[in-house]
Formats: sequence, C-alpha cells, structure tokens
Amino acid sequence: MTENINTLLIGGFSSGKTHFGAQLLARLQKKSGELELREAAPSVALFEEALTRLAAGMSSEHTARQMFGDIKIPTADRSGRGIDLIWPEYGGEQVDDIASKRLISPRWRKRTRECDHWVLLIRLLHIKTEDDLVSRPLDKLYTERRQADNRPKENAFNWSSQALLLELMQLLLYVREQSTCRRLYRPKLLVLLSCWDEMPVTKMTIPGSVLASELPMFYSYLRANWDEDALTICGLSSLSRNLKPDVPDPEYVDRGPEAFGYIVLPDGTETSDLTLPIARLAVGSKL
Amino acid sequence: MVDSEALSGEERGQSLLSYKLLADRLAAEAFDRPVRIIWSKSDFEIPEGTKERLKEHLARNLPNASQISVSVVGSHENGGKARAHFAELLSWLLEPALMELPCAKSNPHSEDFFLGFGS
Repeated sequence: MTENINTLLIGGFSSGKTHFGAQLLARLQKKSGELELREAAPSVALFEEALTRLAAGMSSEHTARQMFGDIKIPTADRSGRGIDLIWPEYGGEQVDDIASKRLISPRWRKRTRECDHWVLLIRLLHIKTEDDLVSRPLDKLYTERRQADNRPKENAFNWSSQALLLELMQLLLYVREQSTCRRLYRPKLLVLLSCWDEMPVTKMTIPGSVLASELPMFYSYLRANWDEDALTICGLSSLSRNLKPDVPDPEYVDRGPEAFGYIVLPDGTETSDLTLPIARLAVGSKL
Repeated sequence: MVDSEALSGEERGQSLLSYKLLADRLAAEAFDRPVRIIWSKSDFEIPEGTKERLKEHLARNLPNASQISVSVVGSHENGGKARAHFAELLSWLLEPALMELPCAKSNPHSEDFFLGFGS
C-alpha cells in the first residue's frame, strides 16, 4: 500500500530549503537511509540546478521569488511501506510576505489545508533577537528612547523575528480553520533549525534548548499549542560547511555532496541520515 | 556510455551527477532487458573516489549490468586488446540469442528491390 505524504515546507528567505531539498533527494537516491527511492523520481528539474551546483562543490543560487512548484518523490521506508513524498520548492520571500503583509495566495491556502505534515525551517543566525534587561540595561533604554523620539515615526516600530514567526504559524492555522482549544495533533510539525554548523554550539547540544534560549516566546507557543507527540525539534546542517557560490570546494567534488550534511536529533546526537526525521514525520512516530 | 574524459576533468562532479540521474532513469525503464555499461575513452584516468562512487551507484541500481572499457588511444601498443574489446562489444550487440529478441519476419510492401531483399 502506498501512502501520499503531502509536506508543507515553511521557510523564509535564505532559510536553506533548496539545499535541504537537493540533499534529501541525493540521500534518497543513495538508498542508505530510513527512506529511499522506490523508483526513479518523475522529474528532478526543480532541484536540478541545486544538485548540479552542489556536485560542483558550490552553493546554489537563490530560488526565484515567484517560483512555486513541487515534486512527487516515490519512496519506501525500511519496512517496505510505500510513501509518496510531495516536496515543494519556492522562493522564500513568499513565506515572509504571508506574515508581514498578512496576505495568503490561493495556492498557499490550498497547500496549508491539504498538508498534514509541516516542516518549519528556521535559520537562527538570521533571526534578530530583541534586547532584554540583561543585554540592554535600563539607563540605556532611557537614552535610546529619547533618541528614538527624534526619529521619523514610521521607523519607530518593527516586528521582532519571533513575533513574525508566531504570527505566521497562527495565520496558517487560521487559514486551515484549525482550532487550538486543544493541543494540536495535526498538522504534525517538524522544526528544523537550519545551518546548524554556523551556530556556536558544542556537540550534544539539544536543539529544543537552543530554540528555547534563542526564541523563548516562539518556543513557548509551540509547546503550548502542539501535542508533545506531534512536535519534533531537530538541528539541520544540509551541507556541513559553508560553500561559496563561485569557488568550488574540492573535497565536495571528490567525495560528493551525499557525504556531507547531518541532522541533530532531539536528544543531541548526530546522524548523517537526512531522511530520518522526514520518515518519522511521515509515519507519525517520535524520534 | 560513460565518458571517462568527462569524469576525469574539472567538471567531474557535474558529470558524475548526470550519469547517476541517467542510470536511475535507465534502471526504472530497463525491466529485464540486458544493459551493458561502456566506459569509453578509458585511457583517461578517473580519480578513484569519483569512479568508486559511480561504480557503487551503478551496482546498486543496475545490478545485472555487465561492464566493459574501450579506448581507441594507444592502440599501437595495445592494439590487440583494444580490438578485442570492440569486437566483444559488437558481437554482444549483434547476438540475438543473448538479447532474447525474436527475429522479425519482414513483409515489405515495396517495389524497391533493396527493401524487398530477404522476403
């Protein structure tokens, strides 16, 4: 029996969606993980550019803002259960626009309603954290506020990154007509803290704790609204290192992109199997 | 046909990727038909890591495919071997019993003697 797993991948500008999609495809082709390709994918055109760039040891170009498509990947898990993974690819600005403009396009609305498996990519290094009493003592607050009063009013207020993230999740749930009176069991949510290799963390750091310390309000929101069994927080490094867009990395060319990339599981252990969290998300079992 | 020159050059990463994608596509369409992988221009030295990765991919996706290396360079020194490989390849291609192909009976509706030959 084959199951259709329609994935809603949520990730803003430069959150690492394309690299993850391309590396996931490469892992599925390699057939060494929890999920593997059952037959040749119908078309890898959406990820061809990224796959080619990675094979040449360079990072891929930014995905065009208007791009929106998906690829159906026929996979099977270790028990032989067929899972057709529907994996999207799009310009990340579309997600940023949903939260900041509070507008959702019909195709995003459709996808939000149809998908019961959500993957949220957050690149913490690109997240702006707000100052608090520790990082900005009260005396500074007073002088800065006086300076702020002299600035033009339209620049006076900006949403913080975690407020925008929270707004985005609430908006998507609203569009889905999903009540949060009870903790959510659907959609299942996998939070991937992307580009983990660029974070100043040690081995065995627990991704959930990193999210809690960097984005405490958002973390509390997730814990308060999702059932414990339906929420997983992992670290993700799709490439293991920072590739340049114009200078090939010779080790990448010789060992191949499939030799790089890892996932930090909720308990802090690392695995090179990028398909593992997706497989568990698909079958609904905890990591 | 795997081009050893492409796999030994600067763009070997991209070439390897396209051969892997091609092998996947072939594996999905070949069913039980015989497949032979020809490593052409085999006088070019493919870096060990690149060759191993492609071999592993081919072995996993086309496990029943046989392989042969051919090259036309250096045939003076190695003429016999090069000729033997080409001859083996051609005879394999032309072996209907091996390919389990039925011999088609021609039934041409043509006045042309050339097309009518064999009817």
